[in-house]
Amino acid sequence: MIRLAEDLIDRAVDSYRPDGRFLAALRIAYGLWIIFFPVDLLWIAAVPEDFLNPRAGLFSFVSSVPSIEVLIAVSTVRFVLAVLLVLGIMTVPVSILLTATMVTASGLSYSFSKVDHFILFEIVPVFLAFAGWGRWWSLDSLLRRRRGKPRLSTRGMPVLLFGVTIGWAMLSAAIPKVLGGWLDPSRQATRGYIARDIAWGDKPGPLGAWLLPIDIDLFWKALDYATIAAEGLLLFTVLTPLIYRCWLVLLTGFHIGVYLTLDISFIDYSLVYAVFFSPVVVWLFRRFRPISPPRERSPRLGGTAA
Amino acid sequence: MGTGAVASETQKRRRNGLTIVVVFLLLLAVQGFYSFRVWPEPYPVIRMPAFAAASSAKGTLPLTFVKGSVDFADGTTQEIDPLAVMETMRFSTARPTLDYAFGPSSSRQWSPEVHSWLHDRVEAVTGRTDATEVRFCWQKALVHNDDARVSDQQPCEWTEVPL
Repeated sequence: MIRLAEDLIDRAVDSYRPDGRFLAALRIAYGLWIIFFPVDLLWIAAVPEDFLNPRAGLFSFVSSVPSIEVLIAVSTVRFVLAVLLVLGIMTVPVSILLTATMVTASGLSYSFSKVDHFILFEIVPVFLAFAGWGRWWSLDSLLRRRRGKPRLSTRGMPVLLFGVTIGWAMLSAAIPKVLGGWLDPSRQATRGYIARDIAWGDKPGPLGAWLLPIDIDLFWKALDYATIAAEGLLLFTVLTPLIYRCWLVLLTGFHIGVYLTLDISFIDYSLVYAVFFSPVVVWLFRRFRPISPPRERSPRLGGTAA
Repeated sequence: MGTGAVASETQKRRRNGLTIVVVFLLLLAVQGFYSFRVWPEPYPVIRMPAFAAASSAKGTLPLTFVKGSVDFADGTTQEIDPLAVMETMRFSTARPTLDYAFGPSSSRQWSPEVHSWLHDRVEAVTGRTDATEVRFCWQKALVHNDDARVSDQQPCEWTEVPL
């Protein structure tokens, strides 16, 4: 049994080991995302103290609304760290600090009665820094080369652990649904949330109002069951990378469905799931890049070799 | 390095891999247990939104609606959208903060800062400077799955905030 588990983990680590250049591209894309689409914090300074209602945990100590100077400082630090990340300077500590800063920013923002669930996006830098997203196309790698040191290879284990984390997070959404009656054939859940948004006057997703009148129980229960399956089973596929990737595609379809019906966007999650598709992207790149004469060929796309 | 040494190194690496994954899963389970035991929902924890409650077997979902109205010094009254009052806040925070600060179970003891803030917001929404009171009507009702119609509306629970 232990040997089987070791085998599965060993193979999964190998399979999840991303291409160095793909990982570097992901690092640059992530940094640019933070630079160009920063989450606003400055609204917090204008909120009355009475509205402060911090969540339990690390930020339960927040006892007053942060001043505008503090919020500008946090936003500036986040911006500077994102720039350093794009350039690939001290990538590992910068990535860890960036996650810490984003978690701090969210902790302040969530101290007003509501936790939004963007934690998977915020922890991307920690996992991918250890996977080696600073080992290509970075000042770190340039300095290393100048010192005559060989390029380090990327690692699969941090990606596997990130996969476990995503699977766990999705399971944490599925369990309350099961306890809340989503599996009961006589109760419709997805349809109820679309009806709620319409009744509340919230803007439903582009297809929400169009789907609601469909009076086919089987259709709505299939959506409920598919949601539970997509969220609840992901964790159990993590040691079989091919199935895990397919499940992520299914989950992406589920996110698109949530957007179309409830207008909740998960666009940031493209940067969360992307690392798992490294082999697919590399295969596509090799398959479709123009064939040039051997002497003009660009260096082999690889990046996992030392 | 001999064949035996390589095999031993491989075995060590495989065992380390298993240990890392098991310890990591245990840590996730511990923080998961904590996140479900503690209220309100803690942060930061690895958790996704629940959307837990399914509609009843009769196809209805219980909801609380909120409406707002403002009285002015000249004796007139105007209806306002409570969420428009809260819209300086982050989109997802507006309704939970409205519930917390002005909901039926709120403390109803507001600081001068809240009165002043609310006065400014009412002015921004209505365009008038002579508001004297804001009233929020909290009303429980049932929403029907098939057409989003609202039924079984209960009487308003009022929150009155003098400005």
